[in-house]
Amino acid sequence: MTETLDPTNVPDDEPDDDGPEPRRHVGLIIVAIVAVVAVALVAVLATSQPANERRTRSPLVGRTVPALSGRTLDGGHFDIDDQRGRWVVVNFFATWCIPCVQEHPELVAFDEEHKVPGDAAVVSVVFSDDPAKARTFFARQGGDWPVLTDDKGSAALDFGVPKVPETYLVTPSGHVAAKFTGGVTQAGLDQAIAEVDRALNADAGGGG
Amino acid sequence: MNAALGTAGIVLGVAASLGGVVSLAIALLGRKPHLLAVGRSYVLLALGGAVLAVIAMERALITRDYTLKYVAEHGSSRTPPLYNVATLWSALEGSILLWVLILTVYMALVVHKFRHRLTDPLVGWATLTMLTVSSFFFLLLMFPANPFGSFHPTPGFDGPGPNPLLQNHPLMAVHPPMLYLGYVGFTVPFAFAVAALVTGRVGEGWLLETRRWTLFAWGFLTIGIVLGAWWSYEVLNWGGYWNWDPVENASLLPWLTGTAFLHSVMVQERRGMLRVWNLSLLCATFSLTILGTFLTRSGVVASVHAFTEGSIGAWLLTFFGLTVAVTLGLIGWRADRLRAPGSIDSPVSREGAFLANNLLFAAFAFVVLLGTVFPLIVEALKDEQLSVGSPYFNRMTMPIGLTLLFLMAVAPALPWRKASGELLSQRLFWPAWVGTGTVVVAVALGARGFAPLLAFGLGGFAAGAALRQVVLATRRQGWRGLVGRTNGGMIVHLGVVMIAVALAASSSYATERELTMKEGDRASVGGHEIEYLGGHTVELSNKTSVRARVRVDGDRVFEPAINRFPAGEQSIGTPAVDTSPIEDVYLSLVKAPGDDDAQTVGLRVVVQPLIMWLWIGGLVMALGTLLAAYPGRRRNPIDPVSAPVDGARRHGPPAPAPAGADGNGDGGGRDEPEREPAEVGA
Amino acid sequence: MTAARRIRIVGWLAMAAVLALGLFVGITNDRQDHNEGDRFRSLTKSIACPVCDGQSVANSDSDAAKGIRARIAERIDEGASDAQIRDELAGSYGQQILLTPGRSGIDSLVWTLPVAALVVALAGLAVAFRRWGSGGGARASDDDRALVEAARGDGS
Repeated sequence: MTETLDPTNVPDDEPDDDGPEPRRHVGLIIVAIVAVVAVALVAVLATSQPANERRTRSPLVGRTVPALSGRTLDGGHFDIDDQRGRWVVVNFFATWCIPCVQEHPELVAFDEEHKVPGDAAVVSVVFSDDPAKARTFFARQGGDWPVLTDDKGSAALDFGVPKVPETYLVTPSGHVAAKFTGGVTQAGLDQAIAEVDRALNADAGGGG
Repeated sequence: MNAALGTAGIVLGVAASLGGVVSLAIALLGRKPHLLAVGRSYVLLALGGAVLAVIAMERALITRDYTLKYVAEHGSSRTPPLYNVATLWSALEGSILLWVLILTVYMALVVHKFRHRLTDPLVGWATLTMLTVSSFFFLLLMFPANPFGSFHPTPGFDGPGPNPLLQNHPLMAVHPPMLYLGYVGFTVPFAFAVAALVTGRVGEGWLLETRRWTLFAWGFLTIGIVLGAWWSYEVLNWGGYWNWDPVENASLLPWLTGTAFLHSVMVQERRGMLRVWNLSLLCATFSLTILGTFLTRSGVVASVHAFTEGSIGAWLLTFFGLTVAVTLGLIGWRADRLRAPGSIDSPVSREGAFLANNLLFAAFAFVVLLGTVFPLIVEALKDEQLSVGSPYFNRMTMPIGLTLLFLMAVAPALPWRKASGELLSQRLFWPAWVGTGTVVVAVALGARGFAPLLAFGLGGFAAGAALRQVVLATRRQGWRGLVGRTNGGMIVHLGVVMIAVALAASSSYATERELTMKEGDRASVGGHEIEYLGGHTVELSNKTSVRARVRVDGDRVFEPAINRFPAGEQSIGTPAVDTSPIEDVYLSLVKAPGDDDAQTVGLRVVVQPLIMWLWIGGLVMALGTLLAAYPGRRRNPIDPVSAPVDGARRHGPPAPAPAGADGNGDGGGRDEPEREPAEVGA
Repeated sequence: MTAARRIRIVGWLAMAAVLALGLFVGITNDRQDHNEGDRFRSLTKSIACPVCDGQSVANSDSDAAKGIRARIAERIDEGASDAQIRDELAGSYGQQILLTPGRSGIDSLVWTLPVAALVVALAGLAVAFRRWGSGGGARASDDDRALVEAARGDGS
C-alpha cells in the first residue's frame, strides 16, 4: 500500500520558515496587480471612441484664424482679414468628394440667408483638385462666394486639413470657433453661430 | 439556399458547443467521468456545423450569389477565382467563419489524439474550455457578425469586390489562414493549462502532451507574421515591411509571449520550476490573441488593417475581460499548489539564460502593448490625442533585440545549473570568432555605424553558437543531430539571425529617391541605373492598370503600376521589385505618366540591402520548427530526467520528474543530448 | 595551465584586438553625410500622415502627405529647425501628427514605464536569486519524514 510520492502534493502545513506563506502572499499580490492593470485596460478600451470619429478636434479652435488669402476662381483676390466683423465659414472641398457635393446646397442656402444682413460669409478652398473642375462645379451648382484655388495647398496645411469636406467657423473677431468634419448643414451652421455667440457674450458680460 | 445552409451550420455549431459545455460541466462537476466521452460527439458536431457554414459561404462566393449580403458587399464577377475564394477571410464576418473552422478542426484533432483518455477529467476540462471558446465564436457568428444576412439584389447587380488592397497579391490567400492557424492553435495549450489549474494537476504531464501543439501554433504564427511583412512589402508601395501598425502589433504580442513560453517550458521540464510563470504565459498568449482580435475589429485604433462592424467590439472586449478574470482567479486559487521545490543556483546557467530570455520578451511585449494602447489611455485621461509610431517602437525595441541576439549566442553553450568561466571560454571561442569575422567582413564591404555593426557581430556570434551545436550533434548522431527540440531550435535561431541581420542592414543602409522622369531619362540611385522607358495602360478584369516601364541596370524591365478599381475612387499603387540576395531595388509609381501635359512620371526608388534574407530567414525558422517537432526516440514523457541509478528503473513505475537533477543535468533517456564532448577542461 | 588553455587565451586576446580594430574603422569612418537629405528623411519619418492611420508622411502617397512633405522641404530650405517644423505642423493638425510622443507630462510615461518595469523586474529577480541561494531547496516537514519512513518501512 505504498503511496506514490508526488512532490507536487506535499501537504501544506510546514513550519513557517520562508516557505509557502510569504510566497503565497507575493503570488497573490502579483495577481492583484495584474488584475488591476487588466481592469484599467478594459475600462480604457471600453470607453474609447472609434478612431474615425476622433477627428473633430482641432488645435486651431480658440486661436486666431491662420492667414488665408489668395486668388479666387474668378480672378479676384480674397483675404480673410478683410472679413473682420463678420462670421466666416471656411469650407474645404473637392469636386470628386461626394459628401462635399452633398453639402453644397446647404452652403448655398446659408449664403443666401446671410447675404442681406451681411453678418456671415462663406469662402471655399479647393483641396487637391483642378480649378477648372471647381469652376464648372460652381457654375452648375450655384454659389457665388469667393473660391480660393490654393494651388500649393498651403491653406490646407495651415488649417491642418487631412481630407475633405472640412469646414471651419471663424468669429467676427477672427478666431476659429469650431471645426466640422463631414458635411455641414445650414441649420447646423446657424445653430453653431448662435451657441458660440451666446458663449462669447456670456464671457464678455461676466468677465468684462 | 446558401443562406439557409450556412445559418443551419452556425446554429448547429452554437447548439453543439453550448450543449457540449453543459454536458461536460455536469459530468465534471457531478464527478461522473464516464460521461465525458460524449465530449467527442459534441466537438464533431460543432466541426460539422463549421464545415457546413464555410462550404455554404464559399459556394455563395464562387457562384456570386448576391442574395447574401456578405457576397453583395465583398464579391464581384470581376474578381479572379483565387481572390474570390480568399474573399471568405477578407472581411469581418467571413474571417470569423475561418476562425471557427480552424478552431473546430483543432478541437477534433485533440479529441482524436486523446480518444483513449476522454474520461480523464483533465482532458474533460480541456475539452470543456475549448467548447466554451467555440461557443463564443459561434455566438459571434449568430449575432453581431452574421455572414448570412440577406440582400435583395437588383437585376444585373454586380458587387464591388474585396478591398482593392486585398486583390493585389496572391499572398493575400495565404497570410490570414496562416495567422489564424497560429492564433487559434494557441487555444489548445491554453485549454490544457486551464484544465491543469482546475484539476490541480499542475505537474509536468500535460505540458509535455501539448508541447507539439504549442510548437506548431507558434510556427504557423511565425509564418503568418513573416508573410504579412512580405505582403506589406510587395503591396503597400512604400518599400517597408513593418510599420508597428496596431494590427501588426496585435499579431506580434502573442508571438512574443509564445516564444517566451517555448523557452521557459524547458526549465520546467528540467527542473520543475517556473510553473506559475509558464501557466501565466500560456493564459497571456491566449488572452492576447483575443485582445488582438478586439483591436483589429473594434475600430478603437486606427489602422490600415482594421475592419470593424457594430457591436462586435463589445463582445470581444467582454470575452477578453472574462478570460483574464477567470485565468487570474484560477492562478490565484492554485497558487499554493504551484510552488516549486527547486531553485536556480546561478544566474550564469542555462536556466538563468532562459530567465533572462523571458524577461526580455516580457519587456518587448510590454513595450509593444503600451505603445499600441497609449494613445487610448492618454485620450481617456487627458482628452488629448497623440500618436505613437515607428520611431518610438524602433528605439525601444532595438536594445532588447540586440540583447536577445547576445543571449542566443551564449545560451546554447551554457550548461544547466552552473557554468564556469573555463567552460564558457571553450564553448564560446569559435562562435565569438565568427562574430568578429562578421564585423570585419561587414566593415570591409563598406558597412559603417555602431548599431548595425553591433547587430552584425552579435548575429554572427549567435549563428556561430547555433552552428556549433548542430555540428556537434550531427557528428555524434548523424542525421538525428538535425532533429529534435534542441537542434531544431538551433535551426530556428539561424533563421532569426538571418532576419535580424537583414533588418539591421535594410534599415541602416537604405537609399531612397523620388525621381521625376520623362521618357528616355536615366538616373542613378544607390549604385543602380534607372531608365524610364515609357508608360502604357492595361485593362484587366477587375482593374485598369497604368504602368511605367522601367529598366534597371540596363538589364531587366519592371513595371510598377497604379491600379484604378471601378468600385471606389481609390487608386492603388503596385510596386515592382528587382530582388537579389544582395539588395532589392524597389520601384513604385508616385505619379502616373500622363497625369500632366509633360508626360512625366513620378517614380520612387528605394534600394535596400539584404531584404531577401528576411523571407529566407522566415523559411528557415519554419523549417527549424518542423525539425524541432520531429519526435525523438519513443520514450515515456514522464521518465526521470536524471540518469538512472540502475538500468532497471527506466521501465519501472512512472515517477514524476524529480526537481533538481544531478550535476550537470544531463538526461539519461533524452533524445537530444546536451553533454558536450570535451567538457570540463584544463 | 595547459598549452591548449594558453593558446585559447591568446586567441581571445587576438579576437578582442581584431574586433576593436574593426569597430574602430567602422565607427569613425562613418561616411554618412548629415545633410538636408537625411534631415528631410528623418523628419518625414517622424510625422504621421493624417489620413493614413499610422503611416508616416515618408511612406504615404496621399495628397495630404505629399503636401506636408512639400511644406517640410520648404521650411528646411527656409532654415527652420526640426523642433520649429514639428511645432508648426502640430499647431495645424494637432499633436497626433507627431509620431513620437513628447518628453513631458503624461506623454513621457510611454518612455519611462517600460524602463521602470524592467528595473522592478530585475530587482525582483535579484531578490529571488538571493532567496534561492540562501534557502537551498525545499524543507521536509514532519509529515514528509513520516511518509518517507512509512515507504522505507514497507519496501525493505
